[in-house]
Amino acid sequence: MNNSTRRGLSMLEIVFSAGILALIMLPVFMTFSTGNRNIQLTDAEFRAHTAAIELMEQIISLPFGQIKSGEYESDVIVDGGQFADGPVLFKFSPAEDLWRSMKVEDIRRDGKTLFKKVTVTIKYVAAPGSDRIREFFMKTLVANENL
Amino acid sequence: MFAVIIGTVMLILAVSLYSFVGHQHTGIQSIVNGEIAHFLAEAGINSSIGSVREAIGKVMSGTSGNQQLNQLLLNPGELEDICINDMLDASWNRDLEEFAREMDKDASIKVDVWLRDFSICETAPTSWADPAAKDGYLVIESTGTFKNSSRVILVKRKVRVGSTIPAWMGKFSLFVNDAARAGEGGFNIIRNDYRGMITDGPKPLITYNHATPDAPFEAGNMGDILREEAEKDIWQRRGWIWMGGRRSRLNLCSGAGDLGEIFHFYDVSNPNIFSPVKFSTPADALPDSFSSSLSIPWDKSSSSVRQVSYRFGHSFVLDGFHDRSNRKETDAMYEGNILSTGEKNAYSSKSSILHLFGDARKGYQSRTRVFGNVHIAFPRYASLEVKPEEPDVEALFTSVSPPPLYLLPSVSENAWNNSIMIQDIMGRQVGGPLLQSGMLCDSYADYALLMSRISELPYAESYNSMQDVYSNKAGRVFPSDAGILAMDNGLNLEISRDQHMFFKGRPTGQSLLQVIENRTQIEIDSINDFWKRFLNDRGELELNAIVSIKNSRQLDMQIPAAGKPQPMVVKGGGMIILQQGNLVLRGISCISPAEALTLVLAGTGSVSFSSTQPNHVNVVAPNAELGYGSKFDMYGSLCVGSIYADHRFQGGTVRFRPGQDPTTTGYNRYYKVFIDPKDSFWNE
Repeated sequence: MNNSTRRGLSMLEIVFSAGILALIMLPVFMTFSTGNRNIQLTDAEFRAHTAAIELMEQIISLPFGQIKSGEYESDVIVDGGQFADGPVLFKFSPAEDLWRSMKVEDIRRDGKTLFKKVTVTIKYVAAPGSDRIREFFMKTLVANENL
Repeated sequence: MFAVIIGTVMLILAVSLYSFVGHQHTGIQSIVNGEIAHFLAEAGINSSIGSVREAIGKVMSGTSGNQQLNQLLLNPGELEDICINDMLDASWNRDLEEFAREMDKDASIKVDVWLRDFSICETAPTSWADPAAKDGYLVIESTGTFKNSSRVILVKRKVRVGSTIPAWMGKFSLFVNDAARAGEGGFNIIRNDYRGMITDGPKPLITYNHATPDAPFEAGNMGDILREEAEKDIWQRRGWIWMGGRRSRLNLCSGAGDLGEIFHFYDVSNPNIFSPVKFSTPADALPDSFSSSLSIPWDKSSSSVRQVSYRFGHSFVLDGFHDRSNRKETDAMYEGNILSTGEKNAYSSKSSILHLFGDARKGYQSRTRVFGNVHIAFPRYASLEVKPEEPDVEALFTSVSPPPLYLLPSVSENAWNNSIMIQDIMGRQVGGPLLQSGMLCDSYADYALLMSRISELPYAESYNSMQDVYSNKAGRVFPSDAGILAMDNGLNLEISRDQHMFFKGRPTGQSLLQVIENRTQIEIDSINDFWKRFLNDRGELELNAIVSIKNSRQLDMQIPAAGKPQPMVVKGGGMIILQQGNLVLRGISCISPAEALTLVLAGTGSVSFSSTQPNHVNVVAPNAELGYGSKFDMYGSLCVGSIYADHRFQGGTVRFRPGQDPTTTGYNRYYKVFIDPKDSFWNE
């Protein structure tokens, strides 16, 4: 082979290749970014869901008489805090950027409280650094075993 | 080209990541939705369980509640899995639908109540095959659905349907596991007069094996009772008696008075007028000397010697045991030495504390089937019937009052000889023969067939004699030639209704206990805990279950408990199994014929009564002893290991309760549906 016949990439070729690569990589990076946001959102939802179950389980495991009706906001539903100023203390796993609230209602019939309707609501930040607040709630009924 | 390749690889990676994250997010959403569905399902359980309990509670309490559900559970045979929402007030599903809408327009909750996995649990005819007794589960199935995720929560409760009547014992009025523990004649301790009126000391235990007019409920009508008596197979509908174990002998009580048992042989349709039945021995059963007339010197030879021609016949009457008359204090039945000293020593003159066939009042004789090696003993007074063939002697002979009576005394083989004088019992010279034993019999064997003696007969054969009484049979013989019942050790006993065989084989106390203990629904530690749990505010027993009490301190269980009103009222019947200790009964009253209480004493110990109050109860204590105490009155079935027979025994009455007879449909009333109060949770 004759070395004199070899030649390098021209500037034009390099620029052109870089352009093509950039065009291809743009949607790739956008996809990565979207995926990352979704991972963060999923993480937030999962933590919110876990927090909801944690609170719900603590309430429905109480004796019926200790489940006091009322609306409870996030400032009273904190780790170590009293539930309805009673002897029961909340116990929560550490969780940032979420706020718990709860509503306990009597369901009465014939003058008797048959059930308590418990609604747990969790508000949480959709992703770190985001201003977007999302909300998640779940409900259940607790029967009055004393009737 | 290189850039294209790198770019393509990166694009594939990016799409993969996007897709993965998307799937992960969907998965998390699905979990979250599933958890929400779970709480909806839990809400369904919580909202319906009370209503279900209430509905089932009505079934448990007996006749109230949904009749269809009652029928379903109590019907004999298998029970397929079935949803019973229609049989309950299933309004909870409407309420739950509304509740679910608060979560999401597509969310739903549905609660179904099922009877599942039921199977017949008493299936062995050698122990007890009960067609209605079954085990299974009451299942509350709650399904929560939220955004295509469903969760099912099952709450299961064990359900047992069992009878509170103690299996085959309901067919018996009295069951004594080892009747002769005190010896063959151990029950014969009662001193009574010849009328069957007990004067002092121990008293008899009388069993009535059918509905009597004075029963607290299910009382029999006198007309029906008397009509039934004519039926030769009446034993099939009556309470049976088991006298197992060793050979026992019951000396029949004399007389037709309140407590006499002479109805075994006499017609006591009018107990105020009773006379012995005279059984004539057929001519072909007598020695040759009876077939022709004999010429014998008459007993008036001291005034004029004369040979008179006499013909002889033979008859006998039967009687019971008594050792008092209205004239003498002791051994009245052995007066005149008609019965030998040897018999006196062997049998005594006392009668039995067990009167198995009722008493002498019209309609109160209750012949029944008696199992076991049990015999009755009774004196047979044999009489030589003398007929002078010469008219002037006959006129002289028949004019004597009371008529001449030639009883043939019992003698032992050693004491027998040809020259035993046979004369008028009062020693009168009335124109009768100067007769010696050898003139009638060539040997002791011939004489032994004719003489007076104490006879024994399998108790069950008394049934046949009584059948002769009730059917007014002419020309009665003894023992009866009716072969209805014979001695039966109960090895192949059968209890059935329609086509169903409840029991077949030999009943034993241990197998009965096993059947009963397998029915246990609730276990309690102490007697005290039992009363706390099952006495209501009015002091009534509301049991509605089969409860076992450990009683590890082996305390006596008094029923009702000391200080409580007597009798104890039973509002909801059931069965109490006391594992150890003693039972002391002080009066128990069931408020209706549909309720029955069974008391079981599993261990050794004693059953006694400390009050004359009536006891509507069944007692099953096959290892225990029936002790002495107060005279008692029991309406139900009594099963004990043995009976303590001594001078303190005050006896009483055991009345068979016909409604508890498993061969009748009335037996179906006593099944109880028990639902375990403990839930087991299942997630699907």
